[in-house]
Amino acid sequence: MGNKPIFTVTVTNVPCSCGGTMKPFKLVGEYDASVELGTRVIADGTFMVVRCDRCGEIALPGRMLEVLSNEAVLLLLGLDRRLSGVEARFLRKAGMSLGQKGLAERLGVTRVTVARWEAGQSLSPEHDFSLRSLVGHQLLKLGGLGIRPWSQRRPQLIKAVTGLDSAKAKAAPARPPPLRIAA
Amino acid sequence: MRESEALRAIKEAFRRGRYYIAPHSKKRMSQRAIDLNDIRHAILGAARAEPYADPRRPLPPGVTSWRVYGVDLEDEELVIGVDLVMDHLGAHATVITVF
Repeated sequence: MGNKPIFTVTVTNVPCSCGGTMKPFKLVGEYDASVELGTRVIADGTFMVVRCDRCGEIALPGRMLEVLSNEAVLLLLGLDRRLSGVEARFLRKAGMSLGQKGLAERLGVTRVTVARWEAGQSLSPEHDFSLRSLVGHQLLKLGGLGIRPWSQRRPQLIKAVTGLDSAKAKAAPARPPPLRIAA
Repeated sequence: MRESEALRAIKEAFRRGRYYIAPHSKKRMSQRAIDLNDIRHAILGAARAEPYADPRRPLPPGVTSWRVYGVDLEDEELVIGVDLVMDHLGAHATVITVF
């Protein structure tokens, strides 16, 4: 994620749902954020997390999850193959904060069409291009307005968007590998 | 703490990234096929919160628990259980369950 920290993350003692207390813990290794983010994402590195002193479960601070989400958006925009349905859904939600209906209106298709893409294995070249261009340009615009983190990630965004000069020929595999993010 | 104050504090915690998704709520999110974006959308747009008391889960001093009523990105109602703590840095929220 680069050398410059994007956010300062502070961890706090809070109660766990098992009745224990979540306490600050230094996690070295992998954290699977797939459930929180809604697409397969594995972060690898050193994190300040909280761990329950009774059940041992771990939770990542919300700000850190948001950083991982933004990094996953950038990785998906720059993929050299078409998006899978699950990845397209993640891009719609994390990159645009839109429901299926909202995205359908932006792209001039029906909500059912968007639902069909997201249930499928791989988007068509045309739809993949439309979705990635829309998300990329929207995020560039937010960066232009000075909205973090996209103002700080503008060079990476420009690289990803300018790389979208043609539709991708390669379809998504049946089971796309998780996005791996070094933290 | 009144409902309106609690809701304001929970929204502030989410805007500032001062929240956790507790392990139990991750299971519920998986079952309901919702993710962090839906949770954030529901909480930041919520209009109502009410106290949430679970007799099986006594709360430590300084912690209050709330049901927050919002809608997800598909405009479907989402009710979220949130623990709220006010510490020296302000509000901190923990998503404890999704109903």
